[in-house]
Amino acid sequence: MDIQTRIVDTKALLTCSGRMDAVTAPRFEAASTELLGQGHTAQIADLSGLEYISSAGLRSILAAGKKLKAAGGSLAFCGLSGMVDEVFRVSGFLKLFKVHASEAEALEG
Amino acid sequence: MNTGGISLRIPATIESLGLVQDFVGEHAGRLGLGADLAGKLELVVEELVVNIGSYAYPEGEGDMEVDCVLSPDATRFCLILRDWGAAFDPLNREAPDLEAGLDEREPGGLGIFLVREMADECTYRRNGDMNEFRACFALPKEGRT
Repeated sequence: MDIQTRIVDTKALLTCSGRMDAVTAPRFEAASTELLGQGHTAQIADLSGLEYISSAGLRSILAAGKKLKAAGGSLAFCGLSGMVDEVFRVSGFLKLFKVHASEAEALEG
Repeated sequence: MNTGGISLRIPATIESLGLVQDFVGEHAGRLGLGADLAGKLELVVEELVVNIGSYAYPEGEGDMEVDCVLSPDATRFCLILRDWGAAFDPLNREAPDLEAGLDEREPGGLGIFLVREMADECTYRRNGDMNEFRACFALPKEGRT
């Protein structure tokens, strides 16, 4: 999995691509925590390039989301498709996080 | 019981995950499983391998065996994982609370939950000193994509 981070106005964008599995998943929480440490509490993860996610990925996302919420921030998503979208849906993650249709919408909202 | 299955026996560690994915993927590929089913299968393989690594051999090392079996009438594809560790029935685990909010939501239990969601049928049995977990997928009759 590859994670690119950039700051757009007041929001931090994490663009994830590849596979978020048991081996790579901890990198998501690490990247989110690093951004939080720099003061970026409003984060958006663009998963449009992500082709696979397992429960290890959900665990990493949940941990990052809890930390951000505790810091008064938020974690939102955009670009869910295919099996990533299905895994989010059956796991109840669509209820836990705000999910936007596109990156542009996420940056506005 | 084993109708034309092939099996792989390797150490039950996360490092084996790639090998197991390749083994199952190759077998599934030969059956012409569609991309949708192949993706579900990949997820189930990862969750079960991680599970065995965590629960079967918490303090030591051991083997696991992976089997791919096609039912005689070719309507079902089953993935079978065996280990010789502590008795552990993953189907006894409580399902995660999907209605909980972010603060209350606990991180555990999602792996087996996803296995049950993705597979059409799951069974566990303890056979002597062996755990055997079977996840079966119904194959489409025609129009495999």
